[in-house]
Amino acid sequence: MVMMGRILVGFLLLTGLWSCGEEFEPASLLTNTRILAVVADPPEVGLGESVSLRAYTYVPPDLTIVSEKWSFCPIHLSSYSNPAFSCFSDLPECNPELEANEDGVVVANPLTLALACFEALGAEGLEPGTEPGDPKTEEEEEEEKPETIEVLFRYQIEDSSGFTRDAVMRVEQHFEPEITNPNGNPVIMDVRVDGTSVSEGDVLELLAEKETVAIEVDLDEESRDFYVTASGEEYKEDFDLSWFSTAGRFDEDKAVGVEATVTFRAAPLELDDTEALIWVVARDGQGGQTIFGPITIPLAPAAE
Amino acid sequence: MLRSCPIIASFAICILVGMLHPGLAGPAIAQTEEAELELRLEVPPKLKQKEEAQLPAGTVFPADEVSVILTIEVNEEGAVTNVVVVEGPGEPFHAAALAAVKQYAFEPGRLNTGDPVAVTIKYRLRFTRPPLPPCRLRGILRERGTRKPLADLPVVVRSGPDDRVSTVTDAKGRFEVEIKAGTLKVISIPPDHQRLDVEVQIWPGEEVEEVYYLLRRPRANVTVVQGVRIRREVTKRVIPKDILVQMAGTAGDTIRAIENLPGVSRRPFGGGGQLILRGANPGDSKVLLEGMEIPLIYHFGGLRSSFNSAFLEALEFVPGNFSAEFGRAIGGIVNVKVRDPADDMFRGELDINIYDAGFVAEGPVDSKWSMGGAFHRSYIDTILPAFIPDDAPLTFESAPRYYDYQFNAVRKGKNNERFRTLFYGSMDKLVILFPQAVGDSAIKGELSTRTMFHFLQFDYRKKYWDRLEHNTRFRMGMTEINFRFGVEFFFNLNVKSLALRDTLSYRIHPKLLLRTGLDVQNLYVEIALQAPYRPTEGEDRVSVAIQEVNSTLETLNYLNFGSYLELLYTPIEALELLPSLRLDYYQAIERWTVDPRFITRWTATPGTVLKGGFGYYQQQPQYDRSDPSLGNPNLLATRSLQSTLGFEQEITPGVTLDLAGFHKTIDRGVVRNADFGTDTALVPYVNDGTGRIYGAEVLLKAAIGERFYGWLAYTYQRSFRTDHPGENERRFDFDQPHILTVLGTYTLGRGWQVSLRFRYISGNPFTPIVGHILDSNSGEYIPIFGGNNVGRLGEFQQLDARIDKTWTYPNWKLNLYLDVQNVFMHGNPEAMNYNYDFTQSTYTTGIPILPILGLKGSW
Repeated sequence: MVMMGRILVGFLLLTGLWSCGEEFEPASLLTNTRILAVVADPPEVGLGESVSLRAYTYVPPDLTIVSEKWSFCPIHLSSYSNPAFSCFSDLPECNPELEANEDGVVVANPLTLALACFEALGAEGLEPGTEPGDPKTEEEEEEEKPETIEVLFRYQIEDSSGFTRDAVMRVEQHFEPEITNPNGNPVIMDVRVDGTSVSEGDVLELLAEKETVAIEVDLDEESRDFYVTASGEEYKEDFDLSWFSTAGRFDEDKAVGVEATVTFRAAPLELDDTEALIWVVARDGQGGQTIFGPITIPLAPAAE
Repeated sequence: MLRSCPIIASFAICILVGMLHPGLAGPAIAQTEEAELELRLEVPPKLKQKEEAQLPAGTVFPADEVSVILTIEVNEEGAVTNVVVVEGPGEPFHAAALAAVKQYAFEPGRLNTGDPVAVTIKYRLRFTRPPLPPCRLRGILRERGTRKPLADLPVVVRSGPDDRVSTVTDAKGRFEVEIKAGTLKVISIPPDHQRLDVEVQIWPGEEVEEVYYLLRRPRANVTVVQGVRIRREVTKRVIPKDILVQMAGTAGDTIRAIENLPGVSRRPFGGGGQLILRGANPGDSKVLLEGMEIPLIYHFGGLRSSFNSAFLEALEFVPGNFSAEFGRAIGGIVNVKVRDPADDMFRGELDINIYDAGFVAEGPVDSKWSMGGAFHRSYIDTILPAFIPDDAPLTFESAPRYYDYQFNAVRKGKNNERFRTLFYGSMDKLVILFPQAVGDSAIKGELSTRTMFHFLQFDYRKKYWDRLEHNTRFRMGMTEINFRFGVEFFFNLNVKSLALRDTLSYRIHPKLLLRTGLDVQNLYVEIALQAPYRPTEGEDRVSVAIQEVNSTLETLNYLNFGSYLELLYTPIEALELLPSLRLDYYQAIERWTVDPRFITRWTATPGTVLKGGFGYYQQQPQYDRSDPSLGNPNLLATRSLQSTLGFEQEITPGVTLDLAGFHKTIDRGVVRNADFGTDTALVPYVNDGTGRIYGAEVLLKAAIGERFYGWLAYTYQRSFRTDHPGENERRFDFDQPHILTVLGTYTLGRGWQVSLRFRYISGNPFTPIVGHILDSNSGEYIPIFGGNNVGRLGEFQQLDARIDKTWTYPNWKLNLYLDVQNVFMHGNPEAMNYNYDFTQSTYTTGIPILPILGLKGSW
C-alpha cells in the first residue's frame, strides 16, 4: 500500500522533471519553426456555439511555411494512447480538414462537425463508446450521456526545410446552450520593459551584449476564472507564462502568477544575432491562452 | 606467629665434665688405699620437656632453615640453669632460642655410679621457614573492545618451576586458582585471540582479581562446522550481519547488501525502495521483518534502510520458489531477522557519517530480560541548503529529513521459550518549493511528502516436549503517507493495520515434520487522492500536465487471510521432500487462491546438494488497481508458475558454489485496459498481461579464515511481458540480461580492513521517442513513442571501495570508515533525457561519486 504511494510520488517527480535539461538549449530560445500557441476563443463552447482558432508561429527568417493544415476530431484518445490525443477514428468525416480565412483564423462549430462524424460512424454501424450489437435503453443512454466532451483541433505546418510541427488544441464542448462560469482566455493588461509600457510590434532601444532588461507582465486578475478539480474542489486559476526569444536568454523560461517579471540578457549571442524578437504566452491551465508579441530588441553585434 | 621447627634434628653434646665436676676432670691420680672407681658420665641429660621457640611475626628467614647453637647448663635436677648462644644468625632467632631453651626440662645426666650430675651440653636449635599461606588469584578473560567474556579457555598459573595450577574459564570468562604466593605467571592460548602471558606479583595470603582483555585476531585456518538444519526453500541465502556491515558500497547498511546477490536486478536511480528479484515487477517482492511486511524499506534516495542494522541478525534472501509460509508475492522474499538484545552486559554504539547519525544501547535487565533501543536521524536537511545555489529552480522549505527508531525487549525462559516486544517506526519528510514550473508545467508550487509508520510487534515462541513448537507473532500499527504537489495533486493515505502470524511445528515421526500456520492481515484504510493514474509496468510516461486526473475519498477495510500446510518428509537422511499448500483470501477482490508447491533437496555427497522446486505463487493486484473508484474491483490475482533446479557444491572448506536455473511464467497480469484510451469510463485495468522469465544464477563464495570473505555473483536473466493478447512480446522495464557483482573484504590486521565491489550490469530497456506534438492547452510537448522498450541504455559499471580502521581498546572500539561509491566516477546512464520537444537527447547519469565518511564507536 505504501509502496504504491511511493511509486506514485516518484512517478510524478520523475515524469515532471524528465525534461529538465540544463545541457540543452532552453525551450524559450527560438531556433527553428515553432508553434507558440493555438488560441481558441472561447476556450469552451456551449451548445451550438462556434469557436475561433488562431495559431501563432515563429518561422526563421530564411524559411517559409510550405504547408499548413487544420483538422478536427470530436473524440480523442486519452493521454494513455500513443501518441496521446490521437483521434479515435480514421474516418475522413471524423478528421475533417478546416479552412482558415484570410486572417489565418479558423471558425468552426464543433458540435456540427461532431455530428457529421457520428453520422458517418452510424452509417458504418459503429457508435463511439459502444460495442457493436450492444443496444442500450434510452434511460441508459441518457445516463451515460456526458455533460461535456473535449473536442480536438489539430494544426500542422511544414517549413521549407522540411521541418514539421504539429499542435493540438482541446476545446470543451458543453451540451447546454448556456455555460455556467465559462472559462475565458487570460487578459494581458500591460507589458513593460524596464518600467516602460510596450505594445506588440514595438522596437525598443539597442541592447549591448551582456546587458539586461527587465520585462514585466501584468494580467487581469478578473480573467482568473474558477475551476473545479476532479475531487470537486474549486480553485482559482493560476497563470503560467512562457517566454520566447530569437536571441539572448531569459533568466527563467517560465513564470507563474498575475504579475511576473523576467530578466532578459543579451548573451550569449550568435554572430548574426542583430535583434531579439520576444513573445510571452500566458495559459490558465484550463485551455485559456493569450499571447503578446513580438517586441523587438535590437542587439549590438556580438564580440568575435 | 612463626614457630620454631618442631623437631630438633640432632644435637651435639659436648660434655665438659671437667668444668662441672673437678673430680671428673682430666685424669685423676687417685692415691687411695684401695683402687678408686673412675667416674664418668654414663647417661647424658635427656630432654623431657621443651618449649617451642616463638619468632616474632614477619621474621625474615635468611634461608629456609637457620640454626642457633647454644650451650646449656643442666643441673642435677635437670633444670636449665644457664644458656648461652655460641653461634647463630642473629636476632630475633637468638632471643627466641634463649627464651625457649630456658624453659626446657631434662632428665639429669648420670654418672656411671648412677648419681645425677650437672652437665653442660651444646645444643643446636633449628628454625625452619614455615610454608607461606597460599594466595588466591581471580581472573576474567574478555575480548578486547567488545568486553565479550571468553568462555571455556584453559588457563595455567605458575608460581615457581614446580608449582602450577591449570583451570578453565567459565561461561562468564572467569577463573580462580589458589597457589603459592610470589611472582605468578598467568598463561592462556585461546585459538581466536592473542596469547595471554603476564606476570602478577602476589603476596602470601593475598587475594587478587585481574581482568585481561585479549585482542581477537584473524587466523589463517578456520574450521567451520555446519550443522544440519531444515531447509524449506530451494535457494535461500543467509548472510550474517558481521559480513554485510563492512561491505563496500553499502555504507554499512545491511539491507542494501541484498543488491550484491544473484537474482537481484539493479534498482533504478532514485527508485529507492524497489526490489526487483528474478525479473519480477517492483512490488511483486516483499521485504519482511520477522515475517511481517515492512511498508518502507529505505529512506529517501535508498541510502539508508528504515530499520537499524545494529539490531539485525541476518538477512534471509529467497529470490523465488519460497516456502508456503510466505505468500501474497510472485517475486521473491527478503526476511530480516532481528537479534536479541545483549544479555551479558550493557553495550552501545554511536555511528556518525556525513548524512546521518544513530545510536544503539542495549543490555540485560535481569536474568531473564534484556532490552535495547536504537535511533537514527538524518541531518541532510541542515547541510543541503548550504549547497543549493541561489538561482536554483527550487528551494527546500524542509530538506530531506528522516528518522527511524527501534525498541527491542526479550524475555527468555525454559524450553526455548522466548517473548519479544518490538516497537519500531520511521518517518521521511521533504518539502520543496518550485517558484516556477520546472519542466512539466504541472510541476510547480509546493511539493511536500511525508511517509511514516509505527508498529508494535509481539513475538512468542515456545517448545512443548521435544516435538511441538509454537510461534506466534502479532503486530499492530499505523502507516501514513501524505503527498501534495501544487494545488492539483495530492495523495493522503492512512492505514491502521493488524497482523498475525501463527505457526505450529509438530514432529509426527523422526522422518516427518508437519508445519502449519496462519498469516492474517487486516488493513483499515483511509484514502484521499487526486492524481493521474499510476502507470503500469511498461507504460510510457507523458507529461503530468496532460494526464487525466483521478479523484477519490474513501474509507475501506481489507482483510487478507492466509494459511499454509507443509509436510517435510525425510525418507532417508540425505533427502528432503517438502510438499506444501498455501491458501489465501483477498477481501479487496473477494477471491480465494490456492497455491500448491513442492521443494526437494538431496545431499548427494557430503559437499554436494541437488535442489529443485516448483509451484504456484499468486498475488492480489495492488490496491489502486482494484479499488472501486480508481480501478477494477473484479480483477483476479496475478499468478506465477515458478520452477528452479540447481545444486550447491562445497569446493573446499570455505569455498562454495551455488548454481541454479529458474523459469517463471506469469498470467493474469494487471495491465491498462487497451480500450481505456478510447473511453476512460471503462475499467482502467484488466488481467490481460502475461510474462515469461528465465535465467541462471551463480554464486561463488569464499571465506578464507577470518581474513577474507567475498563472492562472485552472476545472473543471466531475461524477462518479457505481453500486455494484451495478440500484441508483441516486449522486454520487461528492468530486463537486465547480465548482472555481475564481484566483491571481497580483507582484514589486513592491526585493525585495518578493506573491501572492494565491482558491478557490471546491462542497461535497462527504454522506449525511444520518435516524434512530438505540442499540446497547446498546457504548452507541453507530447512524445510519440516508438516500440515499447526496444532501446537499451548503456551498461552500468561501478567500482566501490571501503576502508575501515578499527582501534580496539579494552572496553570499547572505535571504527573509522570511508566508503566511496563509484571510485572511478564512471558516468552510468540511468535514463534518457530529452530537450523540450524531444528532438535532442542525452543520457542522465547517476551520482558521479559518493564518498561517505563515518565514525562509529561501540562498547
